[in-house]
Amino acid sequence: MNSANRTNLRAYGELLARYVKPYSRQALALSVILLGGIGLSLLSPQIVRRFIDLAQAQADLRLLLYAALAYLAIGLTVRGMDVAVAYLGTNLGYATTNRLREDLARHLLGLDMEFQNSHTSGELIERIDGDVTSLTNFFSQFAVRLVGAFLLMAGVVLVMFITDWRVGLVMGLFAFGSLGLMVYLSRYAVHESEEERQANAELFGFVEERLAGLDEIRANGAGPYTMRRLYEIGRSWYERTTRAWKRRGSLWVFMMGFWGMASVLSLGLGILFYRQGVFTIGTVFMLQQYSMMLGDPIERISHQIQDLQKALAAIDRVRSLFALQPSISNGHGEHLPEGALQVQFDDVVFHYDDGDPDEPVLHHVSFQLEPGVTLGLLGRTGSGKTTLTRLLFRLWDPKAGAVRLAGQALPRVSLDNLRQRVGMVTQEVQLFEASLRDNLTFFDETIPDERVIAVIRELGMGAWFDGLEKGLDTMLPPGGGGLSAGEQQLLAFGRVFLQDPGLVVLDEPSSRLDPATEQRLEHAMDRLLQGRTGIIIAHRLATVQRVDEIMIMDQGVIQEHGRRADLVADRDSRFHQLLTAGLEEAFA
Amino acid sequence: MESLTMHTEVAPRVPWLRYTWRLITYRPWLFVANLLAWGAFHGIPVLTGLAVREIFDALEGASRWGWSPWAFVVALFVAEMSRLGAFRLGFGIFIDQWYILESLVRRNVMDHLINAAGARLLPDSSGAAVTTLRDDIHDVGDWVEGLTDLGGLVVFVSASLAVMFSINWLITVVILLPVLGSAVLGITMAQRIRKYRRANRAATSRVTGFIGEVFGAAQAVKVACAEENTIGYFRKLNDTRRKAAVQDTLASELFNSATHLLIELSITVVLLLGAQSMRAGDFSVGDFSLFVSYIWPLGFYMRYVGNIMARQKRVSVSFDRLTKLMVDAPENQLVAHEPVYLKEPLPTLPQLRRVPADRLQSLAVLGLTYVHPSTGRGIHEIDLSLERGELVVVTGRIGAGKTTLLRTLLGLVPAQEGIILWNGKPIGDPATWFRPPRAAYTPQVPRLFSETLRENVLAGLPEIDGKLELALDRAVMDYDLHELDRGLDTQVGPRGVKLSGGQMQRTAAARMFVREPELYVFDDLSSALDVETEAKLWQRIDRLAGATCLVVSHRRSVLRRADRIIVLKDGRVAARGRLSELLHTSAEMQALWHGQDEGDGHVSDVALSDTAPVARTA
Repeated sequence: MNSANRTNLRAYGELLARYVKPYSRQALALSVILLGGIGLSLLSPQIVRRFIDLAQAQADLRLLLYAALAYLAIGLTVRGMDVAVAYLGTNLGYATTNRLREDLARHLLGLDMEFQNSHTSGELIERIDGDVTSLTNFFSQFAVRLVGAFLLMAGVVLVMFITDWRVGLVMGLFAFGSLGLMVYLSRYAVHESEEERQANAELFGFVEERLAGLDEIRANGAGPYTMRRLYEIGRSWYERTTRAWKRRGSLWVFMMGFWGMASVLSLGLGILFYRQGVFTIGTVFMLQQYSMMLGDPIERISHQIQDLQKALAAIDRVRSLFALQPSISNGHGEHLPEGALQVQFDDVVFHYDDGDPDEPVLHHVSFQLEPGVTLGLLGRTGSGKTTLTRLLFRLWDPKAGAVRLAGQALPRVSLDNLRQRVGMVTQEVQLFEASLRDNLTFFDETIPDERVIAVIRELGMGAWFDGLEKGLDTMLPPGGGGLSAGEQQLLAFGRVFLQDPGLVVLDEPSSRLDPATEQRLEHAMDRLLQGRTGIIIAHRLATVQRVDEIMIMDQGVIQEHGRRADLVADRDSRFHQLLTAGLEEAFA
Repeated sequence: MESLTMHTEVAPRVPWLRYTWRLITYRPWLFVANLLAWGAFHGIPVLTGLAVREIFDALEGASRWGWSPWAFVVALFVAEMSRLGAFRLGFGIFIDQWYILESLVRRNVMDHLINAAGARLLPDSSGAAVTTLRDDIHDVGDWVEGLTDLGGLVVFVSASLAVMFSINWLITVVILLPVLGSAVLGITMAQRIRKYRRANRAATSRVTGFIGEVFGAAQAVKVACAEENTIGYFRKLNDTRRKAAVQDTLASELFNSATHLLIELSITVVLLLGAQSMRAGDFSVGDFSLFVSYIWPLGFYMRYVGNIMARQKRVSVSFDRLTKLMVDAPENQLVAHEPVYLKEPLPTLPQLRRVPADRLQSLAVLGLTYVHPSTGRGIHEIDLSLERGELVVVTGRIGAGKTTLLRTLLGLVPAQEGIILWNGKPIGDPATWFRPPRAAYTPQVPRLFSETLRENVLAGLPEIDGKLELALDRAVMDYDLHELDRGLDTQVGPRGVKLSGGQMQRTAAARMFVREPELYVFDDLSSALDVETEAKLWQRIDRLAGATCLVVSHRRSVLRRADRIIVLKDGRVAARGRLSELLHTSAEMQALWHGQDEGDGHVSDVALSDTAPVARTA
């Protein structure tokens, strides 16, 4: 075992200590039952031997009856223990790994936006659930099962030794030799199995994409081409999956070979010693039964060791994720005042970590917004207007200068309080496959239903809500399906209403909304801006007409900032030119 | 969740027997070879049991053959080795057959969905369809393979019962009871175990789905300061899954243990009944060992026989779901014997051929109607006409039926009424008619596939003399190509995520342009484009001599260009004509047009009077 593996093994120990400790009583019960079961299963062949020898010796029928019942009783107990182990093991495995899943998810969610933007959610599903699931077994029964399998093997060999040391020696060498070989061979199919998983992912990824794009394939005549690609991918899938299966098949051949040979060997030894008068016929039978018991632990150990490789790799990935630290630290615990917030940018310079420091996204930006004022933010894609608003939430921190709310520099305010007091509605609304209530409250259970319903009515969605059979318990389908784009936007407004912030950032809804639907949103927007400071990233004339101030950004610099009324009146202002050119057409 | 309700206890009526037969006869020799190999694999233990019995009998000096026990040790060895050989051989065939059959069924479903005439509506989301294509086809493969095992099991069960019966009929009859019990157990428990398994899977996919949603919305979660609440919800989902997993494991472990117990009960019976015979000397230790060695596989095989009945139900459900996915496919299409190209050279792609009849002079639509069966929304009695070289724009509010109109015309959803005339002649199946070279289509949210940009645009067209570059140029992708690291060879990522929204739309447009169709159909092409790019796009479309376009849009610049506008309202034509007329005559058109800049009259007057080129930047 190399040093990386050893580090991982230590990490496994640490994780085990942290997550299994709270469940140590369950873990102890599990171990006792597992080991007890092993001891009991060693007894069965002994009883059968006694039975055969007694029967051969014409013993009392009552003795035979007792032996038979003892056999049945042991069977019953062992099966009961199996069920208990299954229950305890699964429960423990999930109870512990669920906590790890939660910790990992919480940790990753706390990381910077850089991390979020460079990892697809599919990848994170694999990290948070895939990797952790492969640890389930290791958190519940790995050590016990491994030790148990060893003990069972050792127990069988020991019993053989006691019966006759020569039999013990031969069978022991055979068993442990086979175990060594099996463990050695267990890597044989690992790579192929990995390839198989990959091939499956590719095939079904292909199928899913094409089915989602069925209309376009059909209407653009790409059918024959798509089928040809399916054949191509299907061929590679066929080759890779069958290869993996055949490799695994070879391992099974080996395992079955072991069982066959163990039986032949034990019978051979039995014949030898029976002829010498050392063994009774019952003993020969018992030895054969014992030799059949050796296969199972060997198979189990080699399985566990294969799993161990996977689990160590998973532990490595989990650890490296835990090692990542967010650069945004929690604030110093100051609180922002109630009511509308004053906004102040003071010589703010910002560029993204993977961007060019010489071409910052925000270039010495300074401005101030009084409480309760609504600002319309204009500018082309890439002018820095979106970035500017993200700094208000400390999704990023400026490289130089300071952002202040109500006079407080943001790093002084606790992160929770900051994000509580600043609300945002983006163009893209993120809905969850959860109840309407959870979608609105963002899973905050402390918000009473009356408040949620009041907000729904305030948004003008009362009629829609009354039509829902299950009310707030209505489950929204994944991806917000079944709701129009406008309704989704309104729900996003609802979230911010419930949050009741002092500053609202609005990304104006995209042009996909038709003008008539948009009106409902504008009403909601008006309500939301009442008594709050507002920043609206605007695309349309209608929006710009409701704001108090206008700010136009261009290449990271404030090109123009002033009261809307003044700018409209000033024929030389950039804003005036925009109005005459048609705002929609310039900034869509 | 939905899949839960779809699995009913009652097996649907599908011709499963015929389907199974068609599958078996796709590669009949593989199936026969499979039967032989697995017959040997399952049958040989009858012989090894006999050999072990002879060893014990010979030891006691009661060999029927008068041979040394060593002879039978050798026989045992040979039998074990042959069994391994049978396994090795059978396993290879078994895997080949399984995956060939999966390939066949998948090919048949996909081919029908993609190439058959008529409209194609997936009964569920594409994700659910993938589940059907993966899991249900897996069940089909599993079923056929189960049948080959069944052959071997019949060999073992009948041979072993015959041997045991000849040794001691009474014990055989008595132990059959618990053994049959395991068959009954198999039948009764299998459904329930599957139910728990399904619940477990559903709980798991809720957990993974939620992780996906949360990290897909990481910014929203952070901004709303909802991290802890979100994790709290995650904890609940995790806990539900833990309970489901425990139930699932417990159910299958109980089943397993019960089977074991029944077998141990049988052995106890043999011990008790055998003891008396043994004392009487007419039941040897060899006989006892034979019974014990047969009882274990018998118990498991009987359970398997019970299981096969559950599998038959399961495969009927799978067949049913697969045929539902294919909707109107002819009988047996699911199991049609078609090449799967696992080894032979891939088929060549057909060339686009243009015939004079394809050349578009006029397109007319009369009384086109499609109402969505569940929502009741749709389009009613739409008339529409289009001459060569015209630009016709369909506009209206959200839900007015604009997209449905295009999709019904193209045959992507089945028209319930109405006729479509191409150059005055009615066309039969719009789905196969409105394809290149006659028509090409770009939907509102275009789908790209995780291949290179080149493959996405060409999608099987041969790459000849600069046509590709021309199409990209027309779609205003020329500038972007320089920006992308690897130009045309850039991998666009799953569903095209590595491109911006505008790039995706323009790539889809290029896919349409490169086909040079008679009729261009596009749904709100400009929704993700900035004005400058959009203007360039229209200028370039204008340059296409005689390009005929049917377009959904509510952009003013497009409406101004239109030769004709069709205003839809609640699925019906509210008005039609040129923009200048409609702005006077149609209230709906006015509402749509003015909706774009409600409010301050002064500013909207300024904007309305604007007749300058749309791309003017201030």
